[in-house]
Amino acid sequence: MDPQQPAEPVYYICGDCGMEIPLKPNDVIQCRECGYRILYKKRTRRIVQYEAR
Amino acid sequence: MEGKSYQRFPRVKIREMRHDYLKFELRDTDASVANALRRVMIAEVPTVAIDLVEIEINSSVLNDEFIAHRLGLIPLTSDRAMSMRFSRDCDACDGDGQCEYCSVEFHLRARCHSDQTLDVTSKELLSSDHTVVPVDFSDASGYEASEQRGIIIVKLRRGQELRLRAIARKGIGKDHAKWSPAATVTFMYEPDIRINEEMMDTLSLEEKTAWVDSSPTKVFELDPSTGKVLVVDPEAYTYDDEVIKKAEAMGKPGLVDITAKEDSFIFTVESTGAIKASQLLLNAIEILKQKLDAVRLSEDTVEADDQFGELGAHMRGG
Amino acid sequence: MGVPQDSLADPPKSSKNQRFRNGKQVHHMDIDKELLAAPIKSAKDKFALIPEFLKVRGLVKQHLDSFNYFVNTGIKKIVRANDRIVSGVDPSIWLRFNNIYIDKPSLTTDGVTTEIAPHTCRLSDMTYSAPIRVDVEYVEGSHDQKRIVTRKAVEIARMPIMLRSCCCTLYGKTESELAILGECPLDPGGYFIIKGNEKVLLIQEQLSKNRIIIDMDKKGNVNASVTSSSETIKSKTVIQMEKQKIYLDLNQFSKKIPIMVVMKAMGMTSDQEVVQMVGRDPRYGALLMPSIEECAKEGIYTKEQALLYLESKVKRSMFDRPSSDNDCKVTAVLRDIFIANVPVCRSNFRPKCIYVAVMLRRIMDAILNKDAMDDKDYVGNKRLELSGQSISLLFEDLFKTMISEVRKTVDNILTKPSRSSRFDLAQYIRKDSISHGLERTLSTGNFDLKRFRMHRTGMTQVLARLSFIGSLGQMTRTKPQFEKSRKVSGPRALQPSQWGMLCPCDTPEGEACGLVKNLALMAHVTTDEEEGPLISLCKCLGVEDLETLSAEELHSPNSFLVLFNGDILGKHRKPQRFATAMRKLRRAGKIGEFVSVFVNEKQHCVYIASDGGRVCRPLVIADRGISRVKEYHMQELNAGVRTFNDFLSDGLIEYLDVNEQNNALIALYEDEATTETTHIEIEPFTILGVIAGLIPYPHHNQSPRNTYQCAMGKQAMGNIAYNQLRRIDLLYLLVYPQRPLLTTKTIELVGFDKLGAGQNATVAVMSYSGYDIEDAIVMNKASLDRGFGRCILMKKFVVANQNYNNNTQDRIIRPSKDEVDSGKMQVLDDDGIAAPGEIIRSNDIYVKKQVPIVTRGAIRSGLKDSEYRSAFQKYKGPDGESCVVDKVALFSDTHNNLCVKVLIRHTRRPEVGDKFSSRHGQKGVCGTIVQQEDFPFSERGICPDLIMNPHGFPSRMTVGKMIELLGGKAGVSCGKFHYGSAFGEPSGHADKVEAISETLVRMGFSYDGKDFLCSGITGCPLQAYIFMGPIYYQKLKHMVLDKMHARGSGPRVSLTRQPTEGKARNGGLRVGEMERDCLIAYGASMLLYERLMISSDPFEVQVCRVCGLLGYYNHKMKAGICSSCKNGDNISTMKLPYACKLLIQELQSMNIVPRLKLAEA
Repeated sequence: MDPQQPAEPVYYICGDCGMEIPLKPNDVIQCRECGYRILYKKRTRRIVQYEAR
Repeated sequence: MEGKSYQRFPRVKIREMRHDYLKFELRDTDASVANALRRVMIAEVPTVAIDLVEIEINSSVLNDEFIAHRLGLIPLTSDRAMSMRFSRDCDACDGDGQCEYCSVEFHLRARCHSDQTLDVTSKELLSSDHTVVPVDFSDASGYEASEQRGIIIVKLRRGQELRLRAIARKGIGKDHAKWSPAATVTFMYEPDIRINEEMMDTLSLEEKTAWVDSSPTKVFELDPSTGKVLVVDPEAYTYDDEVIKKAEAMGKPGLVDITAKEDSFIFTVESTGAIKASQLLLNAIEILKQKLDAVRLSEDTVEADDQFGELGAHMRGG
Repeated sequence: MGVPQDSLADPPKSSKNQRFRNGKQVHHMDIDKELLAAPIKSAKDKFALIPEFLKVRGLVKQHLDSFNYFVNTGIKKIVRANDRIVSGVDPSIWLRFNNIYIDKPSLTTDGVTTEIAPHTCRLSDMTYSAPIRVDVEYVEGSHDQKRIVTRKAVEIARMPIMLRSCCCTLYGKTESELAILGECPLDPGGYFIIKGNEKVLLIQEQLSKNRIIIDMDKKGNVNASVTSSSETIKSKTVIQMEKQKIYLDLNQFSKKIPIMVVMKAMGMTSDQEVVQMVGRDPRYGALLMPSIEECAKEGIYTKEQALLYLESKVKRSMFDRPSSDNDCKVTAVLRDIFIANVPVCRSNFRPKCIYVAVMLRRIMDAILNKDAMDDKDYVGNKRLELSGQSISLLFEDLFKTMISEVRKTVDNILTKPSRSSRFDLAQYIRKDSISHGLERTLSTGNFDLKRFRMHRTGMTQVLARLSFIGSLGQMTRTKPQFEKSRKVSGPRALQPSQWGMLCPCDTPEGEACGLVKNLALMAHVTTDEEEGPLISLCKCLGVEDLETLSAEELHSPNSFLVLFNGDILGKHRKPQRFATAMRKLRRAGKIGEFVSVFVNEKQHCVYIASDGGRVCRPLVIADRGISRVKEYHMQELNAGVRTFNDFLSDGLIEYLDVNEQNNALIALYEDEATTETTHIEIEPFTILGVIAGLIPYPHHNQSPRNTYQCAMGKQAMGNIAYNQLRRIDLLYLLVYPQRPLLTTKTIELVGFDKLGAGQNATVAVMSYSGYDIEDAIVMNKASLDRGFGRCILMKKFVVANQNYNNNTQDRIIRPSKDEVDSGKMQVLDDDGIAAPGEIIRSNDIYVKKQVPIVTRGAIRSGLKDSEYRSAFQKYKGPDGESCVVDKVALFSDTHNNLCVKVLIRHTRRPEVGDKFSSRHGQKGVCGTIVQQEDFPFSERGICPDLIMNPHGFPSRMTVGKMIELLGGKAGVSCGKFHYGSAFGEPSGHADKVEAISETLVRMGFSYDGKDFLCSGITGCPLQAYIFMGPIYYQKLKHMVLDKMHARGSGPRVSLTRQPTEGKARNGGLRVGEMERDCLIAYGASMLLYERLMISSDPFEVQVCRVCGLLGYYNHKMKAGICSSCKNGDNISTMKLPYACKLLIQELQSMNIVPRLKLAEA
């Protein structure tokens, strides 16, 4: 990775147990709690605008 | 505009008036006026409705647009709507449409903590303006106080959360149906029913009963004592021609003559609750008058359109 | 019982009489209403059997049964037949498979075995498979120290598992357990998950095996053909009558062989015996005479002479070893290939001789009487091959290949002089070959089994998840195996024998019309049944063995031949009694419920069938026309103390296959039954399939309309499954799906009321605005505002990080704020992947992926940033629309690479041009969208959601749609769902128009469904009463947004330099040949010039006026030069299409010289 960018962990959600798992690049995609191998990304923290139409 | 005046003086007679229901007669005018009134009530009386939704957290099963759309359709009390500004021509906020003159802010925060499904309803929408709140249906429909039911927005299960900010704005039904204050606006032509009494007298009692029963709605009644056929409820007549056909089948064409009175209308108005049904009618007349003013003025100046800002928009819109 | 069968001499004729008589009867009964009412009540009650049937059997039970049979029985049979691997070098080294079974679906990663759920496989692109385990016994070590080792549960391969089969994790799970596994309880299963894709093995339709089929070939010769299929071999034998003589046509012989020679070769040297075997009728003898004479002319009288003759005709394959005994070759062909289904034990050819005699007799019958010809399209002559059978063949092939591979490697190792000390045979069993073979075949659908000479393509299809009903329909689809010969109409025509078995409505239009069929609601496809016990049972019931019969006795009058699964078992003197006894045993549950007994009076045969692939359906048994199912049975059923299987085992209901139906007289309703009636239908609407079952009142529609709806129902948007929001797939969902107001019983049975695909729209049938011509629909804007026809489109994008040979891999990097493209990366998180919930527009980047520039050669590590090139994943969506990132899932794929699945969602409201359809094959696009206040309104304030032009009705004759409108209107006004099941009026499953009208009148509407409307524009009453009410409308997946396309300038194809083709490549719109013709005819030459050259592929060329060849432009000399004349003296510059220049050069490359002749214009 870029040297000026220390790889910060990004949090993901386990598809089975719902735990939040921090992952760095090149980490194994697996839940640390239940061993499930599908992780979902968390919803954006930004506020999203929609027209109510 | 020389010569004969075609001016008429329409009369309105209120028959029944409830919070969200109004039935009135409109007489001494013609269909164009009645229809104009109807159209304005549906499409041009302004109300306030949620127009912009900013979603912070949404872990519910419904997606963001879905919830935004549902929020938009919730009727909000809009008694203030006539005096509010359209956000598009609001000077105070330069068109971002988030100032106090043209918008109302709502907040919704809901999270389910129990194992039971949590119904998030319109009751949970917190308004920044006490005059603009989601319509409360509890009294009108006769529910008990404990059953204060709002409109369900979404259902949450344990752990799901919904947090959002919504901006309600003034608008008209022509733009989007959510701004239409009218659930039902309709009118019927008052029927003019004339029974040919002479011919009727030639009928036997059975024939009369058969004829009276041939109407699917209860328009006529046979007086058992006198044996006379009476028109009890002309408005129940649905212009179905059944009695006329029956009369012809009985070999008595012209037994009854039914025509629609062309200058007499019976209106039924049901409001969504955003404004009172009676107010809806008044607002509609007001707007109709404004529109007519614009028409009158536009004869003099071409720029009249622009001068009248809001009204000009109405005119341009159609 | 008993009596009905005996009295049925000629079923078709008597049933015709029956119908006629019934018609009269019903008419007569019309007068007496009370009498009519009573039996109908009991008929209606019988309906409860169908949900019970479907509960027990499920909608795709045929697939599950077939797969379960394979898993529990078939696979064991295969392994038992090939249970040994014996080394060719050292026969004392062997391995034996003692048992084989399939474990629970599981996954082993890093030595840890976990059970897997199907949904996990769908999400992470895995194959839903289970290990196949064997118990083996084998010889370990070699030479002197040998010992026998047994090992249990050795995994030899992985078998893809059919969902909801007995091996599946979902088997027997409750609704809540399914929900935890992320599975929809309404999903029927019956498909496989291969690499994350749901695959269906289509039902294959083929001609039945091992049966004599008599037909006529193109030359008018009568053929008797048998497609034999035994465990060891498949062959086709044809006996043909050509020029009065009868010949055998077999692949192994180079010529047609006179049949008498074959008979003699099989030991039937006496001509008299042959004639006796065929039958003593002199007409048979006369027809056989020329064949006998021909044989005599050839001078063949003995078995040896015949064998010698055959010897000269047998085909020599190149691989034949010259040393092989030639005499044996002919005998082997006759024994093993010639009508291979008839077994020859201890070189006793007599059964085969009798079989041939029967074939000859059938040929002659056909010649004497054309009615005796078999109909190839008759459903009783067909077999449906299901997924279990296909997989069984596939597995057998792979298993045998694996065994021979193991033997080869073992032999190789054993022949090596120096070997490592320990020799463990089991370690050479490689599990990959079978697993990969299964996976590859199922994922491509190409069955290529050399061993069985089977080359089929398109056997599997991706399960269409467009609508719930579409996926259901795919599971009941049958595909013909023979190629689609276009001209013939026979196989495409609706066969009367399809009644109740195959849906008469559901077939595609166009190429595959009538060939691709769908199973009816109650149809079931049998699986193989054990033959041995049935054969001995037949013997016990008085079937006289062939061995004990002389040739003369074979066809003695009053005795019937008994054929079991196509093999001649013997004969019986009292066929009806025999058949009755068999049926009694079946009804008592002593023999399988799907065994069919069919007495063919014409052929003097009793056919017993227990083979797999026959279609059958349940019927209520009636004794002398009185139903065995009584009121109290149904009460018990409703109370839950009686199940469908109890009905079967108590002999109240039985399954009849197509052939046995010919022995039955089936009444539609109990009150129509007479004393001859043997069975009563359960419900007439079950003759339709799942998809046709959605149509309300289909029996009031013109038949093609129902077929059109069957095609369109599969394109309707709606709910896919309860787990639809957990899927990461291409999905079309409806925002507010509804359940149809006018339902049918089928809708409730299949669960369409829970997973609807449409909305109830109030439709006014009238003309409006002119934007409704040609089936266009006018829509109400307010309805659209409120959510009508709104849909969600989910699109899946997969990004995989690849590993390369030089130990480099792709990477996904963090976006930086100060980049050039940062505006396009606003949706990205710190991990370089788009965040769910973000609004994404066309050309935004959703995964910031980079690929190493060098991916080959020496192993490298620690690449610098500059050694990557960007491979950013850009979202290509509709311009100007804002889509939302719905879900992002990360997982490791099978190669352990990081995979990212991004699901992007787009909510759309209907716009002009979107396609809608009712359930009656009436499709139309949205023509215009009109404000609510302009829409017509009724006095009650009802305003339609859409307006349909009345011209849609007269030519389409969809009366069902009108009744749907009426019923729907009555339904909304009285608050009760109305029914419109097919043929449902007599049994009360469809509301009658009279009843609907009464309701309408009661609710204050006109009885005819017409309303008094006023124009919304003027307020004046409309001139006519308007037919208005709710109709269930489907939004179809074809939307303008996906199709709309235009281009100015854009990409070109490099070869021809003409604009590209197609929307995906931003292609141009072609002015085609016909358009060109129009312009020529009109004379618009300059327009043509522009369209065909200027706007397409203009090119400047240098032409030599002398030689007429193309030259080139020399930039140094700034002049054109002709390379053949080697000068630039006579060069003209001109423009022509690049494609023309290309043609000239291509022709030159083929030694054709086109020369251009220039003239002054």
